[in-house]
Amino acid sequence: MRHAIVTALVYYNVAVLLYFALATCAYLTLLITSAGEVMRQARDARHADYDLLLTSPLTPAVAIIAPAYNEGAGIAQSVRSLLALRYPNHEVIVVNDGSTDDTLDVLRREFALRRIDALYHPALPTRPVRGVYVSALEPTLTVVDKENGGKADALNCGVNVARAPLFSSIDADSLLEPDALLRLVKPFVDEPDRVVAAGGIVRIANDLAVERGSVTAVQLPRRPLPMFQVVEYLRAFLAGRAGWSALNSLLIISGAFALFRRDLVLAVGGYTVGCLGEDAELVTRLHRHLRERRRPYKMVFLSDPVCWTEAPESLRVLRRQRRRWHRGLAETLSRHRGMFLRPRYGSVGSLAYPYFLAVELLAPVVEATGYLTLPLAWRLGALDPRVALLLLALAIVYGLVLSLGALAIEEYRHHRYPTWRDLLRLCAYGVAENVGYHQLTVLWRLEGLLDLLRHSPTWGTMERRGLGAS
Amino acid sequence: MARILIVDDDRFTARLAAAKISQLGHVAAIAEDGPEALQQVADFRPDLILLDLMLPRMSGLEVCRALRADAATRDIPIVMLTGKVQERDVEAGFAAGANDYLTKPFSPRELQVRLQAHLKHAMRA
Amino acid sequence: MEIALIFMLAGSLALLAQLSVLVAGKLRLDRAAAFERRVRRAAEADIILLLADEADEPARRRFAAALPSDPRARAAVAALILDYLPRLRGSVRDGVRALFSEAGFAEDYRRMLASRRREDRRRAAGALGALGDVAAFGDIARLLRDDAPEVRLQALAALGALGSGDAVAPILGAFAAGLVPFGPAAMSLLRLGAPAAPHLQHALTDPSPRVRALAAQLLGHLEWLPAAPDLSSLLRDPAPDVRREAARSLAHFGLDESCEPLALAMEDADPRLRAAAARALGATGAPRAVPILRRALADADPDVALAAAAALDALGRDGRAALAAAADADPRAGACADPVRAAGPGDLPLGPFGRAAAREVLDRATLGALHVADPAEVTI
Repeated sequence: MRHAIVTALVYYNVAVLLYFALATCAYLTLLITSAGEVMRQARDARHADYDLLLTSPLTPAVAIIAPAYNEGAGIAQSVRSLLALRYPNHEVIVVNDGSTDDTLDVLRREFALRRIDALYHPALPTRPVRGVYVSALEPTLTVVDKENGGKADALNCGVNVARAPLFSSIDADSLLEPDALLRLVKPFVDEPDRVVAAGGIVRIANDLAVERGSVTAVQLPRRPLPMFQVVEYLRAFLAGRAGWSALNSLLIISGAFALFRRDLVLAVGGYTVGCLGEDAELVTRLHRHLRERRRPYKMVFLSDPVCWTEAPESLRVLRRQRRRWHRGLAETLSRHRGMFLRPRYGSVGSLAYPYFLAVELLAPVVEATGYLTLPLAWRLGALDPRVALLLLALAIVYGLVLSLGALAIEEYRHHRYPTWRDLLRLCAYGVAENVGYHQLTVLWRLEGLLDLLRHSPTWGTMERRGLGAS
Repeated sequence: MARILIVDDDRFTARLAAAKISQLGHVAAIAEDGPEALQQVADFRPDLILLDLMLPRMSGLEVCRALRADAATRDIPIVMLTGKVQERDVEAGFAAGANDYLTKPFSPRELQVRLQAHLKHAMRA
Repeated sequence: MEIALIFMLAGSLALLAQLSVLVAGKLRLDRAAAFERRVRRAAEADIILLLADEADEPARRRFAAALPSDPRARAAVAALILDYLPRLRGSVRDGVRALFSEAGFAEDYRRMLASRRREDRRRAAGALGALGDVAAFGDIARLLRDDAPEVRLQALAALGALGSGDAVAPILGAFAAGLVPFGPAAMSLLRLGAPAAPHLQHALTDPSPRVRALAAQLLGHLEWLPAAPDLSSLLRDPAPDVRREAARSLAHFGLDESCEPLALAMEDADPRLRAAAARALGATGAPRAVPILRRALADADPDVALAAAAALDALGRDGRAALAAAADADPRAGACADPVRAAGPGDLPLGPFGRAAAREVLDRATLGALHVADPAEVTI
């Protein structure tokens, strides 16, 4: 009996090892592909003439859609900085998603809103719209007041109201750099018949010096929790998304800063209300739609245009965020499981989807079971401590390879964190991540999966509460 | 000898305009964004303002409106510097109270000519 | 066990390699940045004085005398001036051009066009374009077929800066062959301006629909009047993209004669073409466009209805009267019983969006806050 258990454990551990070996190969491949893509983009960006885009009639109109829920405190400043973006013809559409605070009043006062009798055609069904307002001071500002319906619903409302060929989804508590929109639109200008969606990089803004809605100095967060997230984000974007962009299989474009073709989003039915991770779900659906119709297209990630966002500083909020994200990923993958390994969906079906399923989604599960079986194996004498330590060291080394790889890309290309002290701190956190923080995220992601399996009712309240709140 | 305030976040253009202004025998000051500009208007008390429309944080239109709303600064001639040559923006600029506009790319010669015209006009007034 | 050790070793080596990349990269950047800062600090004040003086003869002589003798520093100064050049216009550019030929920089760049290194070719093309060195036109045009994409793009930009209409044919050729993407090609051609227009008009009959669409779009932005009749005929082109671009471009001209072809285009199945045609009709200012646009208020597509309403707003008294009538119309007024008998504005059907569109346009117009967009934009 005991022998059987031991054998089972050994086999299981071997399986876990193989899993991690394969996962590591995937990560490394992605890292190398990403590095290549970021460098290639660097070359293009260096010689791009953004000033020309600023005055060119070819630069398309963009509608920036900012869903707002109880953002009374910062909404005026956010809107002002959106209006001040360096872009020749953009409009800002704020969708007040049934805020219970003074968001609408603040907007009304600060921007001299006047109600107009607007044509609201719900091409995408949404909760009822209570009114459409235009600013007497800022001709390019439109405010839509509607009943609460969650972020996806608010975005859909914005898409209905927008007339521009492109729209950009923005989180109300994020801060765009002045050139960000101009840089993000460039692929659409270069290849208007190909590019359908683009995303920029999201960077952590904690402890950033911001004055009146503009970044005055770039510095790293002081607290450890946001620091860990800085390293994570750099890995995710510079060592992950860039690679997927190069393979034209970008499944996730951060809703914090994304640019889409409006007609296509309308064609696929807009954002899915009630789905966590609505941004990834939309992007995946777009892939599906276009591949099914065999329409050549491109979705790009650009590491140049920057959106700064506040990262959670408390464990409680971070945990909630990570649970939600992982659950959102699971929901998206579940909805589109028809794409799995089907040749019709090209690299999305054969590379991206399997990766996100096997590596991103299931990693916490495998890792957790790995940790759990360790003490058992030890008790049963099936564990060789040297092997265990060696493998642990291996895991850490490869984790470091990835983090440092991302840091190397960041430093080489963007050098946003210019001092040696910054670099050292980042490296240190990349190392420290493996002894605690990473394990926490594994736990939280597992919780997210469990939430999904239990159809946890908190989902509804989370939606209503948080547009900006993570 | 007049005092001219240049409001532009493009350091090169600002410095070039300042050099040209000094050459013409006037005094120039530079502000890089809206709040700084308003501060400088109070401290430096310019006779004319060159105002870039696309500024970070506070748009040039906002600055212009703020200046026009204040009795102390209502009559200072404002020349917009704009890279956006679309009608709507020029219109908006004039609606906000600007007196004239100069397009970017920047021409030192044109700056000279317009400055001299506006200053002559202002001196007469 | 051994395998694990090997992986461990490989991993550690990779780590070391990355750490050294990080360090080396940082040092390299620091050094390059420091060198550049030094050159800039030294040269910027002089460059600004030079440019403030319009780079006239005495200023150039002073400047040339103060140039460093180190070739790398000289190249950095030249590159710095070229960086600033796009931000300048007027006689100062001629001065800079003269400076570059007097100091021998132009000669160096011309030689670099044939360099084996792609970065040199690219930089040379960029410099010569910025300088407006027309003598290099032929060599630069040949670079449109270069192997390196960044060289091709730079050649494209340079041709646009050089301003000769002869560049249109090679550019369109490179575009049709897929060697250069739409955006940069279009921007380059637009930069050429009026000299390019007659050639673009000729391209309206190109066998490739992509080229026809590009030409049609640019002729509108260039506002090249002689092309208007050709654009009107393109409203019946077999390719939908071409028809749409033709309609969009006609909005730039606002010619009375376009009314009839545009009215026909309003019957097309493509809502984006209808919206573009509506906009163009508004631009004509012709009173006979008013009934056409009034009918278009009943369009099943809201974008078309809005475009029609906005166009009516632009059509003077008659247009605004029709718009006001539509806005005040009884919301229960559905399809008119007898379309033939329909006489006044109140009798015509407004479809699902007509009344709302009219109201929105009127409200926005009062506040000067019309939507930014041209719903017909973006081709696919």
